[in-house]
Amino acid sequence: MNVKQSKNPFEITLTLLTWLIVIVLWFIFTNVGEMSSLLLPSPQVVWETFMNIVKNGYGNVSLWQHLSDSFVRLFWAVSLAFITAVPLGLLSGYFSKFKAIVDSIVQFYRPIPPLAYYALLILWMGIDDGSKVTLLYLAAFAPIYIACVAAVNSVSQDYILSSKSLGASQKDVFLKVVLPACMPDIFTGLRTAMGFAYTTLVAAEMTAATSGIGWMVIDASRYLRSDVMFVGIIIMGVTGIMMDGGLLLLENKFVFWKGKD
Amino acid sequence: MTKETPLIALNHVSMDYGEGSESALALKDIDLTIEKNEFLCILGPSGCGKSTLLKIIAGYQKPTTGEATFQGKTITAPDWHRGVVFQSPTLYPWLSVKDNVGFGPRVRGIKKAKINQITDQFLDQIGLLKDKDKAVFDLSGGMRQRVALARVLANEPEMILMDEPLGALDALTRLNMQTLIRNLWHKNKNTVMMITHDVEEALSLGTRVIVMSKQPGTIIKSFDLNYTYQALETDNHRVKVDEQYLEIKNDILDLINADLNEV
Repeated sequence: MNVKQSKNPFEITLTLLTWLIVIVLWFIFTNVGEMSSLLLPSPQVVWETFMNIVKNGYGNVSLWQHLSDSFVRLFWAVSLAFITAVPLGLLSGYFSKFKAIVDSIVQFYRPIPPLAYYALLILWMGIDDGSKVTLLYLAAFAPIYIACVAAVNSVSQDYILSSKSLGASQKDVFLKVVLPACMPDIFTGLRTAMGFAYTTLVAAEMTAATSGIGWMVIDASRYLRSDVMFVGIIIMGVTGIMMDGGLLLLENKFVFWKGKD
Repeated sequence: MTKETPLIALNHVSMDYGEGSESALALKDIDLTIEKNEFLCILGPSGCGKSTLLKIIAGYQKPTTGEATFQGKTITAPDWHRGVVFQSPTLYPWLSVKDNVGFGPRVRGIKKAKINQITDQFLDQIGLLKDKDKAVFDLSGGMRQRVALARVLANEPEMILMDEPLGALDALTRLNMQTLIRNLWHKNKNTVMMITHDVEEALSLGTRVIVMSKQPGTIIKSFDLNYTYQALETDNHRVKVDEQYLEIKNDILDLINADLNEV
């Protein structure tokens, strides 16, 4: 079906082989050498810790609670960003006067690392989920907004002209031509935003939180539990890939025409 | 009895791009009328302002001086009475073949049952009824251009403007498309203005052929022809090439070449 998805079996083997080698090397280093398990725990220890955390949780909170705390924050923030950034971005791309109002604000705060204003948000909204969701919202807003503005500007002029000659009103042009034509870029923006918000989430949980997957790692570091840190980091990596894969599935379903016209 | 107003009338239309020393005159003092049921072909070297002329009639651009009217009213914006077929088919990839064809009637608020009937009718006319649920990106270039044609026809516009619609197709597909366009024009009693740079295409399709000069574009000569009617009557739908046909073809080529060589 999709060209970019159909990897040949040889390439899949290469990918799997790479990971096998990484794990084997990790195993050899930690089991044969004099490596301190405080610095680099062996795969078996990490696995055992993982099973233990699955069973008993960490810090009196179950693993699922840590994960769901993190993902509820992420979900609310990205959803809010999506439903506000898409209309604002499309309007900015469509009406230059609208862009003159919104664009400079986004461009100003976009390059600031989110953690720089996190302190302010905590001051205003407290240390609970409110400040975290706002932080992630701001982190996710800019990539979606910018993707939308760029998407509108790259819509083929012939699409717009032909729709007008077919009888489309200004509203039809916007909803039935510009919006669908922008969908592929909006999805790309959403994936970028998700990635950026996820990085920010972990950083925020490391700074100030009492649960969440980021908190688990930073808390473990205080007790030199490198095995727990490893488990946490690996979980972050795997969930990151899973989230992006999920978005990719949605993308293939909703913008099935991407790259085909 | 008053004289019937022509479908399209251009009065002293000129088009000037840019300003001051950088200005480029694309069209100079064009007078042109198009009557109902005509098939007008416009020939000319590239950059002669053919496309500008089409954009003015479509309503995409306003002439710098002069006036363009449609049924006696000044053209100010594009509307569905003047459908446009572009050189590359601008079909919407997020819509199926049938939804692309039904796009015009749908935005005009026509009832669903009627849209289905119209779509089927015109998909049948272009021979793609069986492909109506396909995605447009699964069609070949020629098939896409046929869908683009059906999409414009579905609105049953007073006038169809075509900007080198067959320019991107291979020679064989081109011939078949010419026959199709001729038959559809005749069957639906449309009025067509088609831009082309292929002299034979113009001769075999047009009831009138206009030759334009290089920039600034003016109309050099106009030929009234009946080869397209002949082609309608023959079985193979091809034009019978006679002495006169070759003479006209030579005339046109001479006109274009003389104009291009002039310094």
